[in-house]
Amino acid sequence: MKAAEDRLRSLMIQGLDGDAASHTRLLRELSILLRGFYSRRFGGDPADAEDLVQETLIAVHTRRESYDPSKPFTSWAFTMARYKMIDEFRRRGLRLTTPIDDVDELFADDEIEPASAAMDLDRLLQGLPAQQRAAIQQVKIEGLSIEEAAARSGLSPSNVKISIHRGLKTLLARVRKDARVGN
Amino acid sequence: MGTDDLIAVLGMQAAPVPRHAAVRRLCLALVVGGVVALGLLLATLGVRPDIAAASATAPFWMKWMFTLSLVAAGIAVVGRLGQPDGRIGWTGAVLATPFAIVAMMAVGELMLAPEQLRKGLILGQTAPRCAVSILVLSAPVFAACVWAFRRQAPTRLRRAGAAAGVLSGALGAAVYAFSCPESSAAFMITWYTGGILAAGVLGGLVGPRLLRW
Repeated sequence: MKAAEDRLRSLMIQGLDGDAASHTRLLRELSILLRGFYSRRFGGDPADAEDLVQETLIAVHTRRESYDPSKPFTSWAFTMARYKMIDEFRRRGLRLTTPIDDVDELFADDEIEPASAAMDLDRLLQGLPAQQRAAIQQVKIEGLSIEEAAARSGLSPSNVKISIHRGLKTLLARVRKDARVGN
Repeated sequence: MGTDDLIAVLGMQAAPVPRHAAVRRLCLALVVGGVVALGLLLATLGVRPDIAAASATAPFWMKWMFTLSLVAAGIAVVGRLGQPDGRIGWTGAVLATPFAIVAMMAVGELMLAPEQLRKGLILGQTAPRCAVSILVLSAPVFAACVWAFRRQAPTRLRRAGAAAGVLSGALGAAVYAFSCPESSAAFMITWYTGGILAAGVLGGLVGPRLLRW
């Protein structure tokens, strides 16, 4: 890792001096490390990890002014990577299906703004059909069981599950579309 | 777009980044925001009529020493919070120092003053107007700071917003000093600080929303 740090840092510094070849090499080497970083922590769909790799590369590129050459490069880049990952979790606003070994440490390291996450989630949920919205709200946010949500809404449990599944699928598609537009 | 294509496109845009680019960008933002705030002041409150006479007195300059030292410290803090690790280190203590010095001056002033004059030293003639004006004048500066953050990588958005708010409030206060007729340290520590901290609180509230990336 020390060797990687030294190499990446000198590529970064050359890139900051305007050397396009070094900058490209930096992004390429970083993309490999980021892919490992996200797929280790993110699990599930490799496309999700790849989206985050791309978003992080874009951030590393557009925000490279924020790198202080007297400080380690990898910690700069991977703090951004972690921010992107946490942001993605927040956007989904869901409980994770894959266990994340160091999630406590990650979240302790960063301030979470529950208010803003809740607002964004509300905004996203607004666009869903009422039945899906209610199901997601009750089970994923309020933490009711499927049975409780079914009793409350008068639907069958399997209907609740389907509503959640469809609603989440729509939300995820929308979030990723937003992410692309945001780029 | 595939990641390789993305890298190829980004790699082509390796414009040289000058040293201390982040601080330079922040200073540029402060100049632009400060000029807009000054324009706003001239268009509304105007400069205090006795500015020529007042400029021969110490309190007149004390207001700028206070506010501009806060601006300088605020630049250091905001610069740190623009980096992903977000550690402000010693810069936080530097930002607190001008407040502490003026607070001590105010305490000294109030202890020396006869009791019936103390209230006047704190309230002055223009108390609420002062804090409100500082808050309003900080708005264009804050907007410019948000622009500067677009090339930074803040990860503690609430803190970054609050620090940018304090910085904007301090520069807003420095601009307001052209109009402010008050001269006591007790007034300054109460109402200048009030306006500056209000800007900080508002900045902290909107930070997560505006600075997200």
